[in-house]
Amino acid sequence: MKIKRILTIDDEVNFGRLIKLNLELTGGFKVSTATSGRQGIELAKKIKPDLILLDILMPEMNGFETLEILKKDKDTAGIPVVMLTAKGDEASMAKVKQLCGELYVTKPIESSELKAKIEWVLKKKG
Amino acid sequence: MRIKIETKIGGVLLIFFIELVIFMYFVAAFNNRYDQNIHRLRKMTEKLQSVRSLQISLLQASMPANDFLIPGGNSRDDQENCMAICAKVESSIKKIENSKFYNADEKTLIKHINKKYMEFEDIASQIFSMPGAIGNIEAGKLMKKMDAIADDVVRDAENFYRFIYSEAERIEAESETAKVLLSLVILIGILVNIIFILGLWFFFKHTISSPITYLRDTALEIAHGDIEKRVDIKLKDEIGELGTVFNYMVDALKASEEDIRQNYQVQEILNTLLKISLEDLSLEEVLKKALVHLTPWSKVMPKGGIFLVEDKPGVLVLKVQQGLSAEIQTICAAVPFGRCLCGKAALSDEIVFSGHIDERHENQYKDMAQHGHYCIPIVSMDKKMLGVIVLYLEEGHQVDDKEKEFLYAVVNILTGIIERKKVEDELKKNEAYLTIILNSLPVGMVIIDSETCVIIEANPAAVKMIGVDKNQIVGKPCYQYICPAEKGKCPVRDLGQDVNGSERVLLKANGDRLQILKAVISIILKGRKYFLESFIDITDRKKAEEGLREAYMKLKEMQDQLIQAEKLNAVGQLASGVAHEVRNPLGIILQGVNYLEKRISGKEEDVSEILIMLKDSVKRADKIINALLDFSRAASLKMEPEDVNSILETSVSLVKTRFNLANIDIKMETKKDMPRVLADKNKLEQVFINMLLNAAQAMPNGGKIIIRSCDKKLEKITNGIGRRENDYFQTGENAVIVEIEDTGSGISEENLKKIFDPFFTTKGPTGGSGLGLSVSRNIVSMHKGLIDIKSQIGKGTTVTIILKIAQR
Repeated sequence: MKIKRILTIDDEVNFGRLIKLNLELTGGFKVSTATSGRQGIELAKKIKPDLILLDILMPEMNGFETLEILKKDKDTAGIPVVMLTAKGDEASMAKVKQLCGELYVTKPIESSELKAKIEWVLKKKG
Repeated sequence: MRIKIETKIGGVLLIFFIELVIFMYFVAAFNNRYDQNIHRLRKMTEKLQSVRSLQISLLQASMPANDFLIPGGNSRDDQENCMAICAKVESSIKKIENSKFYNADEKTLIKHINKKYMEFEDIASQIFSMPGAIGNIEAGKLMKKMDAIADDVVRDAENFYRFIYSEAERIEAESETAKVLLSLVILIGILVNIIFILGLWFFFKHTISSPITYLRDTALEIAHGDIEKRVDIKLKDEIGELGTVFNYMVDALKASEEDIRQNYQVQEILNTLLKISLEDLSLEEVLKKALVHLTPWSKVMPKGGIFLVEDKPGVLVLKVQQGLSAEIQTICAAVPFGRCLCGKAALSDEIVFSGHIDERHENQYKDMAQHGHYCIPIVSMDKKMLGVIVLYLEEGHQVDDKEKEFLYAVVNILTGIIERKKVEDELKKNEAYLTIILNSLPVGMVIIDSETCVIIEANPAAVKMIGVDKNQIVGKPCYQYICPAEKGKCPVRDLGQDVNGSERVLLKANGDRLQILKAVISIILKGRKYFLESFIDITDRKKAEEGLREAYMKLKEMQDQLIQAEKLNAVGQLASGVAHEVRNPLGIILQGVNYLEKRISGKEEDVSEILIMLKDSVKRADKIINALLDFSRAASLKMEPEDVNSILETSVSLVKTRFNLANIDIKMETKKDMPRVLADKNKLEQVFINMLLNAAQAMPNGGKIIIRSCDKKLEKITNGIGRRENDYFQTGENAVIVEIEDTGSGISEENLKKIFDPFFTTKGPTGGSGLGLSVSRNIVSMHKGLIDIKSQIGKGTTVTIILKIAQR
């Protein structure tokens, strides 16, 4: 099975690191981490990940702006984005839907559940 | 000369008595004479009988003598017979001799007869002693002699009888005469007595009865009003005196009647003055009327005037006059104190009298007719000179204390009139001011008779408020307009309420109700108790108040909503802030735990256990954060008309798929075709799910959940149902009711009180967030609905949710 490249964009460095550790521990994923939206976009363009895990509440550029840019850029528009955020309100969910985010997942989440959701999105995207 | 009536009666009775005595005397005398004659007659009869008896016995005796001459006589029987006859003769003679009736002559006669008889008897005895006398010549001779004697004696006896008889006849005649005389005397006596009694009757009639009757008739005539009548009795006795006294009495009566008439006139005048004093006239009119009614007083001429002291002190001003000449009216228009009779009366403070015009009468004019005056000062209670009444008198009128007395009485009344009128004028002025004030006040005022409850006065403001002519208000009972709800029961008089400052209703003539603010006070007018009710129209104010109240209520409601929203918003903000800040570390922890789990998997049990504890704690913290977020999200509801039954069905299926409810029997008893409720479907779903989960958790060993729904009219007033300010439902309002009943362990009474408090839970630290019911109630409240929980330990719990029906 081809190893899937996952990009996490989260200002919480430790969270990104643990996601990376857990996902990579399962064997099917190669995880890159970015700690800001800008960095995430650049990295996404560069590495063209199979899926992006994007936080919303971040300094400078928040998750929505990042998502908007990613989805508008033809290089990154095709990459499925799973919002992985502590913000769990309906308005945010609606906004993500509107910005064509693929899934909305709220923290805290068990790594197994996260893995299942990533796999479900990847499968859906084919 | 006066003769007493008893003397007269005594005299008359004495004469009558004397007459009776004389009459009796004559009767007795004649009767006596008559009796004597009768006695004599009876004596004479006895005498006649005795003499007749003698005569007969002599004749019988003489018979045997003849018998001797008959041959063969001289028998023994004859002899005895002769002896018997002789005895008879002797007895008769003896009887006559012994009788006291015979006088001496008669006794001489009888003695003579006796002597002859003795001779006869002697011869007879001789003859009888001769044997064989018959035929004996001697004897014959004797017999002849005896015969002759017998004849003699018989003759004498005959004579004696005749003598006695004639005597008897004489006496009988006398007796007859006496009888006639006695009868005559009695007859005359009776006649005389009749005449005398008639005389007596006439006497009594003339001297007693007639005068008394006359007196009585006269008294009756006087009693019937002929006071001029007098008795005319010339008798000089008590009746005559009575007549005189009677006349005197009538004179006195007449005088006293005159007195009474005078007093009556005086009293009548005073009464008239008193009546006039009560009339509602001006002072001058009253004084004029008083003067007009005073001058008919018989003691004065129909002329006079009344002066009053007005603004100028010390001067009498002629205010009213009666029959005064133009000259005197001019002269006396103003009289200073001390001048003329009236001025003197004013100065002296006493009645001034004059019988004719004298030097004191200073105000005069040429050819003024003679007259007298009474000038009576009118002095007030506080000794202030008010004026003078002047009355005209016939010249030569004599001053009289009684007249003065009357005049003082008149003046007393006039003083009263003048003082009262002055006070009244003052009062009227005040009343006029008061009326102006009352009429100009924008406050409605009515005066109500406290006894009859009839409106007696209403000011223009009241008339305007009631909206009908004043004459339609005055005279009507107060409850027609003023207290429409209190008919027959005056709140002030009968119920003793203090209505001052109370808000009441005034019934307008057109039936509208006017909100008024009222005050009532008791007032005494002319000795009678009235209520003065004053009121202002507060309809506008009430409307404004009502508007204000409504606005306030709306504002309060909005404020409550705002506060609630703000609260929720704040909680929401806090929650979302906290959620982010907490969820991130929680995410890190969970990821960390997941990593560690994988690294130590199956090697170290203790560590695994600790990692599970950490994971559970993270989930619990996350649950709390989610509940807080739910709590805040209630603020934003998307209300749509929804079918409760379908929401219930969705909730049940969600609960069934998400949770293991294998041993729980869920029974739906929903009503079909119910009206829709205005609701946020998701939120209501959340509420139902919460309830179902609570029910399921209360039955760990299985049980039954019954879900009921219906719509019905709310009748019972309970918390949230009624007509109070904070009630979501009105009594009688239709609503949808959902009941979720379980057969679980139930909730204690103590816990039931706290069940809706946030963070209250009975599920233990790992069980619930303690926000489920709190959030549910919040959601139901946001729907303007009610949620209620009833429970019994060991039997189960029933949750009732009442929801508003969506308006079409």
